[in-house]
This record gives sequence, C-alpha cells and structure tokens, in this order.
Amino acid sequence: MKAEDVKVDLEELKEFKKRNAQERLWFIDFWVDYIKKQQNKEKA
Amino acid sequence: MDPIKSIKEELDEFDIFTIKFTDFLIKYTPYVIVSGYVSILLGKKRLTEDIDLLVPKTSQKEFIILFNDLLKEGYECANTSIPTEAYKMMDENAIRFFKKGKPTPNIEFKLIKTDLDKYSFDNRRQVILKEATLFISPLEIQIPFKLLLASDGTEEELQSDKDIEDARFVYKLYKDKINKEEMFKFIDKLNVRKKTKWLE
Repeated sequence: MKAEDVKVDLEELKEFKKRNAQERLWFIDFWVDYIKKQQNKEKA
Repeated sequence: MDPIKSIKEELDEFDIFTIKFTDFLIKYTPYVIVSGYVSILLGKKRLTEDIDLLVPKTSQKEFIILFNDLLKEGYECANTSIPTEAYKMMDENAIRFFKKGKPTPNIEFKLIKTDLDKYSFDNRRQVILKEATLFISPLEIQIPFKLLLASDGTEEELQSDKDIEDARFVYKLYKDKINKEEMFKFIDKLNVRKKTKWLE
C-alpha cells in the first residue's frame, strides 16, 4: 500500500484514542487486581 | 531499504521481553511494532508498560495454535485464557500477553484493521538492536501518528507530552533518512500540521 492510497477517517481516529485510553484504564485495574491476588496467595 | 540501526547500547528488560516474544511470534505470523515502544527501541529513554504490535488476521485454527503455544511458553493473556474468546475479542479490541506472574511489560496484540495499519505493516522497517532484528512501522507514519496521539491541550501541556517527545526524538535522530514528502502526506491526512512546530 502506498501513502496516497491510505484513507484516514479522523472521527474513527478520535474513537481510537478514546478506546485506547479506556483499554489502558482497564489494564491498570487488571494489573492492580493481579498484584493483590499474588500478594494474597503469598500470605496464604 | 537498509535496516535501521538502533543507537541503544544496552538491552533493558523491555527489549529482552520484546525480542523473546517476537522471535517466538515470527514462527507463526509476521508483525509490526507501532507506537511508543518504537522510540524506546530506537534509543529514547522513557518508561512504558506495553509494546503495541500489529498482526494480520489469521484463521481461528491458526490463532488457537499460536495462543496455546504462547501459554506453553509461559505467557498469560490478560483478557482471557480461552483461545476462541481471545480470537473473537480481537475483532474489537487488543489483547495483552505477559510473562506469567509479571503483568508488565506486556504485548498489546492487535489486528491490522485500518489503512494506516496496513501501510505500517506493508512498509515495515527492519531494526537492528544488538544481535536482534525487529520490525517497526515506517518513521514517516510513526512521527505523524505520535503527533496525533498527543493531547490537544495547552502549549504547556504539549511541551511535556510523551507523544510529542517521542515524535521529536525520532524526527531529530533520523531527520536525514526520513522521506519528508511521504511524512508530510501523513501529517496532512492526520491533520496534525499545527503540531509539527514541536518537531524542530
């Protein structure tokens, strides 16, 4: 694919930025939960 | 096109993790690394948690083999442990893989969907990092895309924005090797010409 053939939908990119931010937040929650579960396992 | 040689002198935990993952992945599918880790791989020093990686869509059967082999290799998927679920999820979202017991660093594993993704994949560049070879998105799209990801905030906010810093680092380091005509095509397509003042 060449640069001139690339079609860009700016609205879709705005959605991508939002979705990306949401996924990052989701991952932070997952990460914290994962660490807590590991700590609990170690304590048990 | 000649491979890009990274200026990095020492491999860090992220590089080793990425090299191991991509060396394993390449046996199953080609890939391209995009976004933040590209500038880190090229030598910028900053922290990140994830490595964004694009892959072409495969059949469910091929994906299940890869998914199960990744688990056998000691990786865990943050989103699900069921391969058919992961395959479906990928139509909408990225899925993340990390080494069991250690959620960071992780690979954000995404399907090629948009024309920008396709261009990045079709025109991916080889990077030599010590003894390893990795594939990254072309710098002509990487720089405009980082400008797009930067916030639309105030001048002060933009001055310390990590995406602006990434774009500037890559631009300044490879200024003489970048095809500027091609880069400006993407700058206009992504409507980020105003932000190009941060490159110089």
